Formats: sequence, C-alpha cells, structure tokens
Amino acid sequence: MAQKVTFEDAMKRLEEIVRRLEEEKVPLEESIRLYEEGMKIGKRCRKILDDADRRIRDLSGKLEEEAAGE
Amino acid sequence: MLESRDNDPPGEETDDIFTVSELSDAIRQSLESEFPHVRVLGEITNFTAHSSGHFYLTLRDETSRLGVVVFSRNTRNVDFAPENGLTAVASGRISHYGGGGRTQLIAVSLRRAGEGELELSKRRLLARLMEEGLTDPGIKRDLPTYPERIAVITSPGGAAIKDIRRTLGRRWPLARVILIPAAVQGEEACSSIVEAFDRLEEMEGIDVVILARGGGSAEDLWTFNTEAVARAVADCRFPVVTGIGHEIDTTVCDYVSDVCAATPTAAAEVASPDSADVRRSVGVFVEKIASLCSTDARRRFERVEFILRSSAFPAIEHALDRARLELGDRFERLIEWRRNVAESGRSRVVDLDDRLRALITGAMRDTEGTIAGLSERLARLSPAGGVEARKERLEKLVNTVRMMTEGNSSTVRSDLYGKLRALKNLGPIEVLGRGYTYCTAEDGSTILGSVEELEEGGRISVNFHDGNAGCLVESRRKDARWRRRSRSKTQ
Repeated sequence: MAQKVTFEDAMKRLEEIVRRLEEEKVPLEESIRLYEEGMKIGKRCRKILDDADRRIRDLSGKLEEEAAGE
Repeated sequence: MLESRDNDPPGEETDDIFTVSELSDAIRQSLESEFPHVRVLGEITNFTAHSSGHFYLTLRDETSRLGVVVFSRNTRNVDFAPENGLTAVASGRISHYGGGGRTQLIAVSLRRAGEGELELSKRRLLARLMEEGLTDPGIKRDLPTYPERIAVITSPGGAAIKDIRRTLGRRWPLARVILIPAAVQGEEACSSIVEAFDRLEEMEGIDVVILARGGGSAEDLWTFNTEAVARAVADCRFPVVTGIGHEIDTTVCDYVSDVCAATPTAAAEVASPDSADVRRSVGVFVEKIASLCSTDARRRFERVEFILRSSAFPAIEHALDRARLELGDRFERLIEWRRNVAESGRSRVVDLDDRLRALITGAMRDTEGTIAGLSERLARLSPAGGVEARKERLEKLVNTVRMMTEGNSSTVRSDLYGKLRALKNLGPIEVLGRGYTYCTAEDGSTILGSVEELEEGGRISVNFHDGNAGCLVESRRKDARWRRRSRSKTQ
C-alpha cells in the first residue's frame, strides 16, 4: 500500500493544524503536540522542495556538462 | 422474399437469380446514378502513383475507408504531391468496380483540404461530442494542487517535451515527468496517441496527464480534431491538460480535456504550482502555528498569574503572617513562664532552664523551618520569583559547568604532559642509553622477550642504542622466580 505521505497530504495537514489552533479551544497538551507536528511537517515540506530543487540543479548541471563535453 | 428463395430447391425460378457480374453491374449503375458527383474529405493513406499514370489511394477517417482512383487523364487536376497522412478532398462519382469487388470513388480532382473543409468536419464532430455531454463544464475534473507524477503524451523528440520539462523544472521540480512517447503528426499519429492513452490506463498513481504538441499548420494539428483521439482524452481516468499548437489553435481535444492550455509551456504551468509560492505558504503556515501557540501559551501563563494574585497567593501570605504572630506570642509567654518558674525555685531552675531553652529553640527552629519552606514554595509559585530563581539556578549551573570543564581541560592537559613525559622515559632509546640492551632474532625480525625463545647454540642479535652485535647462545637457564610467578599468574 502507498504508505508514503504525499506533499499534498502534508500541506493539507499543515492547513488543518492552523485551523485547529485558530479554534482557540485546544487543550495545552494538544496545542504543544500540534505545534511540534506543524514544525516537523513544515520542515519536511521545505526539505522536499529543497531536495527537488537540488536534484533539478544537479541534473541540469550534468546536462550542461555533457553539452559542453560534446 | 429472399428467405423463401434461399429455401427453394435449386433450379426453380432461375429468372430471378443474378450472376455476380449482373449484380455488380446493377450496383455500379445504381451507385453512379445515386452519386454522380460527390466531394469527400479524408486522410490520405495507401497512396500509390502507378506506372500507368493513375493514382490509387484510400481516404479514411477514424472509422471508415474509401478507395479512390484518379485516372491519369485527371491527375493534372491534382494540385499537390499527394502523401500519406495529408488531408484531402476528392471530387468525382462513386462507382463499383466488379473486377475488384469494391466500391470506390472515381475522382476527377483531388486537392488538399482547405481551412474551410477541415473546420466544417471539426465542427460536426464537436457538435456530436457536445450532444453527448463530453464538453460539459460540470464533468471537468480539478487538477491536483501538488502533482508528483505527471504523464506527458507527446513526441519524444519534439519541442513540446523540452518546453514542458524546462517549465516543470523551474516551477515544480517535485514532479516526476513520465513521458509516454507518441507520434503527434503524420499517418500514425491518431493511432499512436490512442495507444498512448491505452498504456496510461494501465498505470497507477498518475496525478495529471499533459497531451501536448508544438505549433504547426491546421493540417499538422488535424490529429487532435479526430474523433478517436478526442474520445481517448475524454475517457482518460486521470485529469488531462491539453497544450496543443499556439495560442490561436483550438482543437476538439481542447474542448473535451479537463483543462485547455494555449501551448505546451502553458499546459505545464497550469498543471503545476510555483514552488516559490508553495515555499512561501509553508512559511506562512509555520509562522502562524508558532504565533498561535505562543499567544496561547502567554494567555495560559497570564491566567495562572491572575489566579495566584487573586486568591491563593494572598491567602497563603496571610496564613504565614498569622503563624509568625502566634509564634512570637507563644515565645513571649514561654519567656514569661520561665521567669516565673526561675523565681519560684532556684534549685531546679538551672536544670529546667536548659531543658526549656532546648525545647524553645527546637520549636523555634521547626516553625521557622516550616515558614521558610512555605515561603520558598510560595516564591516558586510566583511567576516572577520562579523566573528569578530559575535564572539564578541557571547561572549557577553555567558557572559550575564552566568551572568543571575548565578545570577538566587543564587536568586533562597536565595529565597529557605527564603521559608524554612517561612515554619518553619509557622509550627504548632513553633506556638503551642508560646501558640496557634488547635481544632480537638474528635477523632482527622479532624481539626476544623470554629465555624460552632462545636455543642453545643458536644465534641472536643484541641491540645497543648505537648498534648491535651477533651473539652465540652458549647456555640458557630459566629463573625459578619467574617460573613461579608465571605459574601463579595463569592460575
């Protein structure tokens, strides 16, 4: 089964956390948990984007090298 | 009638039976009178320019085919070089060729399809698909916001795939591009694209499909106005974005796709978010969560402080004050009592006095201890006091840690120097300098550490700090003391 959380899922969860926190009736323990989760997801999202950026940069770098080598 | 004739025994009513030739001729005559002059639009296939000068070809659309002959005398009315895959209009009469058993068009002219004809056939198809509801806005699917697998159906060598890859790389490098190669022009384009959609049906986890082709003439784009391709787009189980031709070109596929973009580049843009925007919105979310949580924490802190101020805090303080007063009062009374006792009987006073003093100071200590404990707890409860106390404790800890690490590092350093010195003293050269030697096998390969490694009559090398000497072992004897010790060690 697809256990992997997609970027779309991650973004949805982030939105959900914000919405939940905005409700103002969240118990302290839960708000701390949500905070931790939110930070973790935010970090992951950024990492996914960074990794993708890097991959593309590497690839286009390689292509340029190959083009230059030809 | 026909049925009854089938059942009739052969030989009866022979007047009603055609020969093949008779029937063929009848069909020919009937067709020629019915279709003396028709014009027909289709894609050229199986084109042959025969050595006799006649042109043979087939005109086809998605479902039907019609044979066409242009006799040599009429080929001057063909104003272009016919080629498979081109769309053309043939004019002539429909006839039946008995020798080949086929119905065909005897064309007197053949010309490339003009904009007008293509447009007309496109409009007819579109009207049909609209009637079926395939272009309804209501059935258009939303594209996923953050696609991770984007299938692209286009020519692998074309400009379209390059544009799409470049655009996705810039905007949304997260997406994997899965190229499903297909011919996008020429004779095979139609079946090739339909095949590509068939392959797509077997794939899993495709978020969005881009059907793309770079710009070209109306005829180059004709494939995208055919019914088979349009239906493949409409039937696809993943959302489809079309990016076909230039801005001005609109094909039937564009009408039945979920989103129609003007060009391949635009299709890639529509199908993907801009990662800079996404990054910003991640940032916004994270900041929002942080600020919501810190506001929430501050609110709770303020509530604790408020509760402490309003009720518990003063109450405890008052209780403490009362206890202090009471204690003072009792102390006074005890002093008084002791004075009275002292005055009443001097003989026992000393003894009593000591016991009393011990009692009182004990009680005092206990009570003061309790008060001190309470005060401390109170101070810890008070947020301000708590913070101060923590700050102090932290500073103390930091100092301790600093002292420990500084102390530690200097200890480590002096330890190291000591070890280095010891090492130097232990070093073989220093020791050898003092008159010690060591023995090795004759070739110097192994150091001999025990008399047991020697052989009588064998040769060894004795090493001094400034050279070595080859020696002959005359005799060897093991020291009893060592023998004993080594035995006790092994026990």
